[in-house]
Amino acid sequence: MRTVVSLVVLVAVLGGRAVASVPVLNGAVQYETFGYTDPNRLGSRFENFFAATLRGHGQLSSILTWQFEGRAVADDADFTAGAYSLRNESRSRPYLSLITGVLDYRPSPELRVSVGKQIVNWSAFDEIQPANLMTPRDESDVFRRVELGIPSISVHYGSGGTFAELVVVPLAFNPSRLPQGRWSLGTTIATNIPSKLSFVERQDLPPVRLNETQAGARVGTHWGGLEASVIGYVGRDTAAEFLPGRIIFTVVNGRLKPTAIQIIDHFPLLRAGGITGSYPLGERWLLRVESVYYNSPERDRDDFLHSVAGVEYALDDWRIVLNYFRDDQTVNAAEAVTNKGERRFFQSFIFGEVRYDAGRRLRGHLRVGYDANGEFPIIQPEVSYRLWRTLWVALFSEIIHASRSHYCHNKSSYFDTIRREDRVGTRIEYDF
Amino acid sequence: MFYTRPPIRPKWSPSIGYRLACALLVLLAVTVALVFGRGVLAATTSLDTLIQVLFGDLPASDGVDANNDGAITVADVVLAVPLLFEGVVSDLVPHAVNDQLVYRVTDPQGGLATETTTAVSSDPGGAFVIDDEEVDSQQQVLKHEVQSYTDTGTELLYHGYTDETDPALVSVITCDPPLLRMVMPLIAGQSFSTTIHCIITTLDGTPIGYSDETDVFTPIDIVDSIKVPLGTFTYLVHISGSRQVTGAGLETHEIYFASGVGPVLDLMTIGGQLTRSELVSGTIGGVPVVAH
Repeated sequence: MRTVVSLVVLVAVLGGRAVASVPVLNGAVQYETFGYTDPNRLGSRFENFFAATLRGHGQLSSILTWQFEGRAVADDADFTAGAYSLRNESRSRPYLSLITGVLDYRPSPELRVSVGKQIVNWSAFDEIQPANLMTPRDESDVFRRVELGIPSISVHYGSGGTFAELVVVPLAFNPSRLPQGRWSLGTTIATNIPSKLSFVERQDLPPVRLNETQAGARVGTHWGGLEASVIGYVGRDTAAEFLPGRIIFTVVNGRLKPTAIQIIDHFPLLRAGGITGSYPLGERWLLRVESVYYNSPERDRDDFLHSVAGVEYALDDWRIVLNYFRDDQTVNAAEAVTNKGERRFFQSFIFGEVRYDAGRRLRGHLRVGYDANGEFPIIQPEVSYRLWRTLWVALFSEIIHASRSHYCHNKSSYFDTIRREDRVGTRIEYDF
Repeated sequence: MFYTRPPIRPKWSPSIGYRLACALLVLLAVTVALVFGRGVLAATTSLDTLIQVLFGDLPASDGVDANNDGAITVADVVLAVPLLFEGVVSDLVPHAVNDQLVYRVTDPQGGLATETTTAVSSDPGGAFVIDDEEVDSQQQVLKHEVQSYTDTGTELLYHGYTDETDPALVSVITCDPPLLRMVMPLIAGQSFSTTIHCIITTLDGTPIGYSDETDVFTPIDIVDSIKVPLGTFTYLVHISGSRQVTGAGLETHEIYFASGVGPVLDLMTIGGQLTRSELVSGTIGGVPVVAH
C-alpha cells in the first residue's frame, strides 16, 4: 500500500501541473422487501435486502485522477456471507465489495492508462449484452445483477473520430457470482437427476498463473452519428457452464451405491470477436446492433453467434426500447455438458422497455421479454414516487412464466424452474 | 448376476498316471452328460455316485483331498488342474428370453429383500438385456436396473444399465470400455481385469456425472456343495471378484455358480459388512430350477 501511495505521489510530482482536488463523494442507500406470492415458491415467503453504495472520484494532478465505488449489502435470504471476496471465489456474496477502484493516468488528451479494478463493458445494450465479454457480475439475485470491476490495466487511445482500447487482466480470472437460493441454476439441474441422488455444486476456479491472463481489445470509429467498433477477447467466459463431476459413492446398508452427483461450475476458455454499432436517426430514434462470435478450444463448449439489434424511441418524457436477440449455434461441442448455463438461456428473445420520467415526483417503467424458443415471458413493472428531495419509494414486481420445461440448446429450462418465484416488492432509496 | 452351467472338463493333471486316467474318465463322463444336454446334466444326481465309484479306491494319500474337505470328490480332481470351464459364454451364462432367477438378499443388519433377474431380450448378435429388480419386504422397489450385456462367445461384456428405480427420473449409465465379466475358458487363478469409465446421463442424454472403477475377476476353484434356500447345489464354480470405485471403497464378491443355473450364492463384502444373495427360485429355458 505504501508503495502504491509513493507511486501516486511520484507520478503527481512528475506530472507537476496541478494540486490534488477535493474528492467528490456520493452514494445511495436502499432497502427492499419482497413478497413471493406463489405457495409453491422455492424459498421463503418474504425477503429483505439492504444495500449502501459509496462512490468517489478526484484529481491528484492534471494528469492523474482516481475513482472508486464500494458497496455494502445485507439480506435475510442467506445470500451474503464473509467480509470480502477477492476473486468471487465464494458462492455467497460478501458484505463488502469494492466494485471499482481505478487510477487514470492521462499523459495526453488522446491517451488514458487506467490501472485498478474497473468495469470493461463494450455493450451498447442494457440487459442482454453479447459484447460484455470481460466484466463479471454478481447475480446472487438474478434480477438484481451488479457489475463487478476486474483488476486490470487498460490503455485507451482516441484521436479524431477513431479510438482504440486494450485491456489486460493479468494472471487471475474473476468469474461471475452465480445465482443463489431460489435463483440457483443448480435447482434446474437437480430437477433432472434421480431423486435418490443428492446434489453437490463445486466451483472450478482457475489458478492464478501467467497463462490465465485475459486480454480484450476494441477499435472503433465515429463517422457522422455512427459509432462502430470491432472487439476481440481471449480469456475465459465469466458465465459458467455446468459439467458432470465424479459421482460420490457411499456404503449404504452394506453396498457401495452412488449417493450424490457433483456438478462443476466451469468457466470455459473463450475466444470471441464481434462488432458493435449505434446510429441516431434524427433526434428521437437510436438504432443499435451488436454481434459476437464465441469460440472455445474446449471440447464441451459449442461455438455460437450472439446477435442483438434494437431501436430506441424517445419522446419528451417517454423512452421506448425494443430489441431482438438470437443465439445461433454454429459448431456442436464434442462432449455434452449438464447445463450450458446463463450464456445460452436466451435463444430467440424479444425484449423491450417503456420508461416514463418527467423529472417530477412520479416515474416508472415496464420491462417485458419473451423467448420464442423457450416460451418464457418475463415482466418487470415498477412505479416510483419521490417523497422528499432524492428519497424515493418504489413499488415493483417480477413476473416469470414458462410454457416449456425443455427447449433447444439449453434442454432444461431455467425459467421453468423459477416460474413460481413471482414477487412484488417495495423499495426505499435515498441518493446523496 | 450370471446364469451358469459349468460342464466340468478337466484336461490335464500333473499327478501320477492313475490319477490322469481317472481324470480322463471324469472328462468322458461329463462329455457324455453334455451330449445329452442341459436338462440331463442338471438332473445328473448320480454324479456323486459316479465319482465315488471312480475315486472310491483311491488311497488316502496326502494331496489327493485337494480342497481339504475330508472327502475325495470331483472337486479335488478339478482343483488339481487349472482349467475350470471350457466352452462358450452361453454355456455358462444362458440368457434366453424369460430365463429368471430369484434371490433372497440379506443385508448386514439382517434385513431381507428379494432380487429378481430376468432376461428380457436377446439377439443373434450376442446382445442381451437383463431386468434386475430388488424389492424389500413391503414390496418397495429398492433397485430396478435394465442391464445391457454382450456375449461374444468367449467374453461376457457389461455395457451399463438404465436405472428405472425412480420411473419419473430415469438415468442411463454407459461404461466405456465395457466391463469384462467373463472370459472363456475359465482357468483357476487366471484373473481378468477391466478399468472402465462410466457416464450417467438423463434419458435425453444430458450427462450428470461419471465414475471410474477397476473390476477384477479371478476363477478360484470348484466347490463341492453349497446350500441355499432353493436347495443344496453341488460342484459349483467359484469366482472371486473385486470392484474398486475411484474415490470409494473396495467391494469384494465370492460368487458360486451352479451347473445349468447360474450364480446361486454371492457373498459381497465392503468395509467388513457382508451381504448375502442366495438363490430362492428360478426358471431356465422354461423349466423350474431344481437343486442338484
